[in-house]
Amino acid sequence: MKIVVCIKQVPATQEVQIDPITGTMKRQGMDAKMNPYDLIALEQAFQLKEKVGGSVTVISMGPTQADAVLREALAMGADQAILVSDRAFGGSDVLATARTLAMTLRKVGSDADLFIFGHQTTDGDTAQVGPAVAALLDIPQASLVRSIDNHDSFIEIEQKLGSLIQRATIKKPCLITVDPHELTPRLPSYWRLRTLTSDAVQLLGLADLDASAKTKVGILGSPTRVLRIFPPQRSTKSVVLDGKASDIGQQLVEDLIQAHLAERVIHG
Amino acid sequence: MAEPLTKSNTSGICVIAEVEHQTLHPVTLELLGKAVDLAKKLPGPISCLIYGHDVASLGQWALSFGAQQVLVLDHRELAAFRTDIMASVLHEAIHDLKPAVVLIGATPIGRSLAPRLAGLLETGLTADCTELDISDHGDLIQRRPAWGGNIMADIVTQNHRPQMASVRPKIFTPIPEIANPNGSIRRFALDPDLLLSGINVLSRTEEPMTTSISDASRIVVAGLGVADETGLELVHALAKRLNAAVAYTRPLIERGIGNYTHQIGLSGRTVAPDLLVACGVSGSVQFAAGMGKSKHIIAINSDPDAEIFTLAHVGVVGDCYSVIPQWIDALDQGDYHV
Ligand SMILES: Cc1cc2nc3c(=O)[nH]c(=O)nc-3n(C[C@H](O)[C@H](O)[C@H](O)COP(=O)(O)OP(=O)(O)OC[C@H]3O[C@@H](n4cnc5c(N)ncnc54)[C@H](O)[C@@H]3O)c2cc1C
Ligand SMILES: Nc1ncnc2c1ncn2[C@@H]1O[C@H](COP(=O)(O)O)[C@@H](O)[C@H]1O
Repeated sequence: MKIVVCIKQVPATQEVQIDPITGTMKRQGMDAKMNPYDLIALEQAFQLKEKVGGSVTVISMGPTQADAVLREALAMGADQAILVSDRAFGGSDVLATARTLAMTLRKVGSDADLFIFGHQTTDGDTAQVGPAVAALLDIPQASLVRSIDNHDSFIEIEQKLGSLIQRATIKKPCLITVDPHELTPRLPSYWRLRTLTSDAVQLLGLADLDASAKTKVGILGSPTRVLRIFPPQRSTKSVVLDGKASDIGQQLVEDLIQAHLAERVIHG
Repeated sequence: MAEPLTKSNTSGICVIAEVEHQTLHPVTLELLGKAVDLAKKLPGPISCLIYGHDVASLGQWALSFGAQQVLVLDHRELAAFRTDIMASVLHEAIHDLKPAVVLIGATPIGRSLAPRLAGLLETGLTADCTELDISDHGDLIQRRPAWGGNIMADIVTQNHRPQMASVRPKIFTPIPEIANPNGSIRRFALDPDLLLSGINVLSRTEEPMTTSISDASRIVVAGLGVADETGLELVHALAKRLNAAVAYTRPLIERGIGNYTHQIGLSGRTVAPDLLVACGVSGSVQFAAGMGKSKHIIAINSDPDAEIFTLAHVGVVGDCYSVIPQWIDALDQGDYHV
């Protein structure tokens, strides 16, 4: 079974810099790590490969330093890694990202059985890229999947949609996004990481995919624009109490009573 | 496919309904409420798309809550949730209605369907908006917390139509029910080819009702200020005394302190309880996005400049490790019922 997993490099800190002109994130020179939800997706892929055999290919779109998450995935056990990187991809929103990944998957994943995406990223935070890629590839998709069994022409899955548990079969090739359930990702092998050659990650640019798609990707191909960014406006009408006051406990109880959230028990 | 949707051939707002247990999910009525509000600045009809099996009777309900026209997509193939065919039939219906704006609930179902639909329509979709408005140019302003940092962003879909946005439950309010609404309900004829799915649903089971924090009427939230063992014990003791559920900010979930279903915020759950007590929580925009509509908010934080104090109705500038025990004591001694 050929499995392809899409993974993304995200900022490792909460202190993200936003470009005030474009409203997009400054990714240059930031501390970065693999999107934690993609670690779960990867682990799901490795466990499936161990059960049924086959290979795991990892793909990431991002700046050249995103190479690091692909190497980490190789050290965890992936068989092949591809970085999709080009200046033209900068400033991509969901649709432009999905188009770029769909072009890549058509090229290198045409023989794949299953595409696995993380539930969401911790920076983009939309949980939209996976389903959008499935639409563009015109293949069936299921979100929030927590178990996968392989069959000849289809996979059998269980998905958790709120309080609804749905079991279904999906025809291959298909795309799933992984429910962020408890699954401990394996650690990368230090030895494998050290022995990776400099060309372990294959690099693809726009010209390798479709040079004519320039206006369909990156900021040019993104239907959404950030109009402005601003600090949240909030009211400051709160009552402020001094936590050092000796009757602070009582003051809080009084507040609950006033708000009709507590009442004194009258013993009759 | 029919002619592409553009600025000149689209108008009005379409709410995509979600059907749950053969009724309209509350988020549908909330979105209709917002649509009524937006329609004051945006010409065109308010429509509602209802899809599923045996759902025609729900149309009247949508009219009572602000829809002017209802399009019903009813077929037994649409009984179980299958994103491929559902997105395809909605795609057809959107081309029929030609709305300028499409709103959809950011529920687990909406969140897996909306991006597929946006992919088919090749248009923009903004996830988890916390506010919507219409600009002077007639564009939908989609407000949501921006990538990291304590910052909000206004996002527009300039040249593509429809402009799609998803919104969590409990962000907007339905209008009061209209007694004798006039409006039209129309059935949409489905092309059988669109109902060929690659998905075969084997079973659907409702998980035993786990108490979800989204339904709790009282919640105590632990943040990084109380993330050690003693702090968490205090939070649980307070929650028990207040008859409240316990929830967490994201960093605690990342440390494995709670399950992600107990995370409040942009990437967690949205809550609007009667009482929310935030202990050692700084009040980031991402956190606020999930709890800003709570009816009574009490915050305890040792930093007088913490952002949480601009959200709270009552703020206590103090140390949780001394304030919480005193609060519990006062409740116990006075024999209060909560
Ligand atoms: C895309 C994205 C999505 C996100 N989604 C979410 C989300 O869904 N939910 C979420 O919560 N976060 C989310 N975050 C993270 C968010 O930005 C904040 O980092 C997080 O909410 C901070 O958690 P906190 O308030 O517990 O910690 P901190 O910000 O570290 O605040 C701890 C607070 O405790 C106070 N304190 C310390 N000691 C004490 C004491 N003894 N007594 C009283 N007060 C004390 C401090 O003054 C401080 O204000 C998201 C971030 C991004 C980038
Ligand atoms: N730039 C990218 N490269 C590879 N995969 C991505 C990229 N962006 C998003 N994804 C995948 O899409 C999922 C959802 O991302 P998002 O819609 O940003 O929340 C992630 O968990 C990844 O699996």
